[in-house]
Amino acid sequence: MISYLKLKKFNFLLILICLFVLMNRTDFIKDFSRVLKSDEPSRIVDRYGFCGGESIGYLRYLKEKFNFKSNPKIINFIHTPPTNWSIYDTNSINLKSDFEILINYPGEEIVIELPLNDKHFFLLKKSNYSLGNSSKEIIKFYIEDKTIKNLSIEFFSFDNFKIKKKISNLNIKRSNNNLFIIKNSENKLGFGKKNILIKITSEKGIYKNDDLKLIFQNKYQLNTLEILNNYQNCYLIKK
Amino acid sequence: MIEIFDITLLFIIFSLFLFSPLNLNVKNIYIVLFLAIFLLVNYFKDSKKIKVRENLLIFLIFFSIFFIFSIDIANELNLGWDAKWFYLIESLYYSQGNTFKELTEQMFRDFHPHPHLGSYLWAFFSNLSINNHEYYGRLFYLFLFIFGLFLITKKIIQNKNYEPIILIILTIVTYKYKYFSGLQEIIIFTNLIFISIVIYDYIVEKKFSDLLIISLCLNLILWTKAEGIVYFLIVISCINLIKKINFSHRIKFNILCLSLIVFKFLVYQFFEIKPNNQPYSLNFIENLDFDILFYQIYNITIYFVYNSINNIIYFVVLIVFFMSRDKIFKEEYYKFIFIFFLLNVCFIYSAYILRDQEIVYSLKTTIDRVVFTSSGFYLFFIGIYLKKLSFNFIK
Repeated sequence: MISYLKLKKFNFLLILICLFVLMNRTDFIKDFSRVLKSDEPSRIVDRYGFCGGESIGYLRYLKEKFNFKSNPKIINFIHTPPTNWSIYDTNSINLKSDFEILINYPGEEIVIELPLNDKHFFLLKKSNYSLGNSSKEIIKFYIEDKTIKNLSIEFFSFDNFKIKKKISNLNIKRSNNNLFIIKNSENKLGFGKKNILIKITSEKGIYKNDDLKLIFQNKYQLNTLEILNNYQNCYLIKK
Repeated sequence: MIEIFDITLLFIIFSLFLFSPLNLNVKNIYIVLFLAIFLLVNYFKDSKKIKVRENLLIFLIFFSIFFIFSIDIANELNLGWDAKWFYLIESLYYSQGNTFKELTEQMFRDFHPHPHLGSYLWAFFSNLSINNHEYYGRLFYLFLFIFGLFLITKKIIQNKNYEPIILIILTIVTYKYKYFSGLQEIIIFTNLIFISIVIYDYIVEKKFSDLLIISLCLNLILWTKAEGIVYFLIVISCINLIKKINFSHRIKFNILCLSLIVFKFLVYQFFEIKPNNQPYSLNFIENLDFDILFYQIYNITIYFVYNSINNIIYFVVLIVFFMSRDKIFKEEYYKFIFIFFLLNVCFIYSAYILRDQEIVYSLKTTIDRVVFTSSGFYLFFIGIYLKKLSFNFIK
């Protein structure tokens, strides 16, 4: 064959080495055996997970089982790339769907851990993904230090000139369940509408520990919904 | 010989582009294939000169590389964020039997980040397969990419013994799975390779057919991504700066390019498409703040330098510019590449300065792709330089 291709032996060897490097670079043998062993749908599940992460496996399973005639709304409780591509039907785009699919359902409450933005302020960004599925009527503050009994919480936002502007100031006592609860009827504080800086002061001074958690009520309460299918924390519900 | 394949492939893509307003139909595939074979056999006298035995090895290597990377794509299956967000959705319109009309009416009027050509090719080739797997469509991007590198190898290397080695090395240096995750940069990358090769031929031979091929490539770029218009304008500007270009060529080429833009504009008018969802605005100029400008330029420079080193092609091309600084304004091709490079760097800076998004976030998420897209243009130039260098070394 080498003579048929008019190739020098040394060059043939070089080509083989280069091809070997190329195969090694892409993990060819491993990839090839995977492609041979498992079909495309199972490789998709391996890549994206069945229920967890993007949960493409669960979405495809639902599409096959329920044969949707329209595109159900997919609500993913963790921030991932869009997932609707996996079951999207361009022919039924104008039809209203009776179904919603909940993925990575966290439970009745949604916990948002807040980082300390600078020395004194915790930052809750308006683009925080979890806020989209949260009810903002009642907000619970959780801090590790159990000895703190009273908190003064100041809320700030930025004006057009990026200068901090105080929105509200609340004094709260610790409730029985070790939480500090505030009422935010009609979302007066504007969570999810603007970036909010939170300054917390306790009887010990300004709170600077990086362990603040905000607990919101989930908009989707399972006991009020009709569940058609469930696997772990993935659900198909009827509107 | 190689021009035959180059032109035929461009012709196939261009034909597909012309079919893109229609829905995917088996008949279209036959028409395109028939026209391609017709073109190959009748319009190129050179086609009789193709010596299969002499080129067997390089073709074998071509398809071995294609096979190895195809397996990588088939196994990975992971799509890029933008691919999941809109490229695949656009492609689904075609693969589920809709046409450009439905795509514009149902999607592009509210949300039109990028044109449809890449998604159309994706749908076309995934529907060619028996089981309609989505990733078959992306294998065509891979074919285009390897074909671009194959062209460079064929153009630069005369010794048939070294061709396969150089082709494999080029693929090792440039291949990354993420470029084939459904993102469209790879199409522009390959088209820029085609342009850089054909412009070299034009500078040497001054044939108008070369300019025609360039305008064909530019049209494909224009319909691949919104940023395509910038590469379109940069290439036109560079071509107009070539000295001793035939006046009639210049006029014809400019009219042709202008008509391509007008055609796109008319299509957008006809289908009532408004190019929206672009994260750029001129607010920055209205509220000019030198502190912010300095902060932006500083960050762009840091990320640009880091990604240029990471990309290798940019890093090498800078070294080549430095080593051949005497030739830059003497040799037409060197000048062409250098002006392209300058305009491209200006584009990268201005795009990020005008981007209506947090600068560090947008740099982190996109600059590697922006750098990669244009790097295709310099590959052939680097090859030419290294070839000359090796000749000097042997002497």
